[in-house]
Amino acid sequence: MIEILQEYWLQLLIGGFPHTPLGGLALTLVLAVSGLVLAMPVGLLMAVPLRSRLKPVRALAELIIFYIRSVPLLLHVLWVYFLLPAALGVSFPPAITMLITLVLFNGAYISKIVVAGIDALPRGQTEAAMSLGFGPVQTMRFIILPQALRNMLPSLVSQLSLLIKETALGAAIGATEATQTFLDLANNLPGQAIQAYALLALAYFALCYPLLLLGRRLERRGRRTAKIALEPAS
Amino acid sequence: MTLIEFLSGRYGELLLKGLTVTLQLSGVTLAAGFVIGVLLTLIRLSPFWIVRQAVGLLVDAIRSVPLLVHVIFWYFGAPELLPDGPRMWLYARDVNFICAAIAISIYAGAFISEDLRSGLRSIPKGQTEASLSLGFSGLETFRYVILPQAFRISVPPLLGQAMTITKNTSIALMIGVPELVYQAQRIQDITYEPFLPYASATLVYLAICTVLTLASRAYSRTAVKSRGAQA
Repeated sequence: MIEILQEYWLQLLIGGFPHTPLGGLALTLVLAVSGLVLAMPVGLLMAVPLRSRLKPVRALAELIIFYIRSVPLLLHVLWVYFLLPAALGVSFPPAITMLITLVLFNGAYISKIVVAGIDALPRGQTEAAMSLGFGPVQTMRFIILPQALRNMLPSLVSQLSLLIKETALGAAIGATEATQTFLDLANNLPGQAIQAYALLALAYFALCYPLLLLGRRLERRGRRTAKIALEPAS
Repeated sequence: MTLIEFLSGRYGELLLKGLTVTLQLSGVTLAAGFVIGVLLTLIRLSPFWIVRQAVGLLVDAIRSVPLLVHVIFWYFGAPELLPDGPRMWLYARDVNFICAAIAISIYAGAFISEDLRSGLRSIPKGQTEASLSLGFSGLETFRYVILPQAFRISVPPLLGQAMTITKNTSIALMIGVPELVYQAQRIQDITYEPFLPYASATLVYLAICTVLTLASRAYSRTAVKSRGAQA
């Protein structure tokens, strides 16, 4: 395993870059982080109809989210891979196809996280802000969202580790992220394939496990501060 | 070609075959994943700190690696480690299906054990104390007081896992298991037309998830009702 690392570390890290587009673990990280950053505004936008006062609007938003969550990510990837070029008349490189899919898919999950984060706040926050003369948008922007974001933080950290794992499906459409890179390498190393796969698993573990621990820690801390805040002042 | 025409022909047959494999794989992995999950949860109740930590780390490690990597490992990697006899035995059978089933079961087992554990932890300590002071032994307390309540709490997340597992079986197509999405892809290779096969597969997943979601809702309603009746 050490020998594979010594021989191929650069390829595993960045793929054939700069001769080919960025690949390897670097592409996995770029896809996951940019996927999360772009999925945040999408999630916020999707949260608006979810909290609408009009029932049909709410129902439609719920339906769209139910659709996104009910279909395997792999099938979403194939949809975007085949239909987006057909619909727009331009074809995207596999990494971009993967990024678009990840943003839409995770946007749906994040919209639920946003709604839960907002609903967890006491109603008094909105009422107090309104009675102080804040408009609805200002209330949302300055009072509710900053607090909700803190509630959401543990879930967002877990979402990032999910995203890192989801990027592996890029291999299905030929995006040269970590899994594809290791698969290619294993093909060239007959007899050492199992070591390459063990190395691949270790790489994902090294990326995701710290995030798992961090998410757990933030959740515990959040619960503790929530408890303190709820205690009546005496 | 309309969807009905498409499905009533030869392609409908292929998709039906794929659906059968998807359901078989989901059923097998759900059952095996549940058994693995229960075993991991029981070991995590061990009085020895080191055992609890080791199993906890194992569960986290399994969850930290993408399912696709698990599948690749069990299909391309693990058989290499087997002695010749068992390897021949394996390759004489449906090796793709078996390896996919092992990988998905282990992955699902780790998630199920987390669900069961948080179900167990949500039972207030007072339940154990009350039951012990009523003269139940430690084992009886667990068997008759804690477990039934924990199981009831764990049913909705378990139904959620059933949904996740069904969706996850699609990853088996990467090692050539002819499940639903695999067949859709195959039809697309024949007809050069992606819309109808993918739409059919999508509708099937929507139907499965609708049924499971409704079941979960119905369960939560009756569970709330029966708890209300007790009070």
